[in-house]
Amino acid sequence: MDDQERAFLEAAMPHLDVVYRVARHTSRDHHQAEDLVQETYLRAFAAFASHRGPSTKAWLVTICINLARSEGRRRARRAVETSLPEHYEPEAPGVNVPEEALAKIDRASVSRALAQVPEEQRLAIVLMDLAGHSASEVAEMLGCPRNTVLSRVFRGRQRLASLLVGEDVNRELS
Amino acid sequence: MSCPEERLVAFLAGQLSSEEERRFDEHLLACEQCWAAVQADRAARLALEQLRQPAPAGLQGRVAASVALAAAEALKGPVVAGRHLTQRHRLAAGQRRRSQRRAWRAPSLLHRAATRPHVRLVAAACLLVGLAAGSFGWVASRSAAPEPAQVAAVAAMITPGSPPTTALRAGEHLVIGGQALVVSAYQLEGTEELVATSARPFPVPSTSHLLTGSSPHAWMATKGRLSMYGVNRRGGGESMFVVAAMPIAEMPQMAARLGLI
Repeated sequence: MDDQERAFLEAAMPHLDVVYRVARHTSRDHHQAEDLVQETYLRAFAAFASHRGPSTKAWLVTICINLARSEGRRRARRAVETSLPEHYEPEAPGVNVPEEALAKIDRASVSRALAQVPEEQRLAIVLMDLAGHSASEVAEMLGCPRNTVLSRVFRGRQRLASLLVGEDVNRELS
Repeated sequence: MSCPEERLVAFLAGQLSSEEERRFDEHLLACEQCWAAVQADRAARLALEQLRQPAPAGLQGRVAASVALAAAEALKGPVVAGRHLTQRHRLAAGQRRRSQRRAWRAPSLLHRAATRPHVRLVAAACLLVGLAAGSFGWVASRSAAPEPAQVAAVAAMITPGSPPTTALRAGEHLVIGGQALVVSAYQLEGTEELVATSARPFPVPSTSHLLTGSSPHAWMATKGRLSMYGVNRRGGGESMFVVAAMPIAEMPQMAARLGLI
């Protein structure tokens, strides 16, 4: 193992879990996610000599989401973000979200529901809630204003909660 | 009545001043709609906690292996630098690696190797040519079959704990799935490796992972305890894959020691 490879692995491997989480929820399935992670690390390794950024994690995640978006465009599967009105209107007014019940929903159901959230909202959620980036970091990664990121996260979480209520009801009925 | 979304977003992001927050708290007591939104936000965050899971076991080894392969190829030059090796370089490199490689050392093979040294040299050169020249332009496509017949057959020839057949030690010529190939057995520190070569690209298992970052021709796959690494080349050059009973993370080192990369 040469010095460059060792330095890269020491800098990049601690972020494997985070990169996988991002890949997993921007891919169709875990096979594609693992391919995406591998591709991310290969691209990063090829560019490691010129990497000067302060955060290796943010750099890796940015490569990952750019690859995911390229793949999405290639497959013409890119979801269209649903436009919401300027004023917030819950999808199911009057229906309270049973917080305790949602906490008991299994991981697969949460993952399925998240996959149904519009892409831009889902990406903002993944980067903030699953990868642990701040709104400012996500804004820089996505090239959009910080408030836009916060708005997408808010709308995405509302959509997710609404979908999970459906999951919970369906589970109880079954 | 609808409330401005930006106030809700600012409240949830903790961006309001203490006075604004106090007023919004009062607002929440009176506004069912905003209160439901705050509850939904908290519930979603709680549910998302479940998705903060670690990467699958084995992914770290696989990623490290692919980086090691990319590093090895970068050192050799042909992939990253995009330079073609000349035939003289290939043969010289093949000859160098031949001295590093330890073929299966059964007595019969020792005799054979002593009497037919050119066989090993040609095999080494062919493999290197396949690896080096196969780096250009060809993007492997995964087979529709989970495991193509060629790969399944070679993988089935590995019997950990038992020595390979005499034919395998010498390099067995076979036709599998309509493809002519040569399968040869090697041994490094007690671990058997089978190397298959062919004039045609091998079909790639659907479960394989293509090393598209630095080498569009290469693939890796696992099958139980077996790890596989292959390089395909179009245009009439040698294609190859190697199978060994070892963790995928150790494949690059083994492939390097065999002189395959």
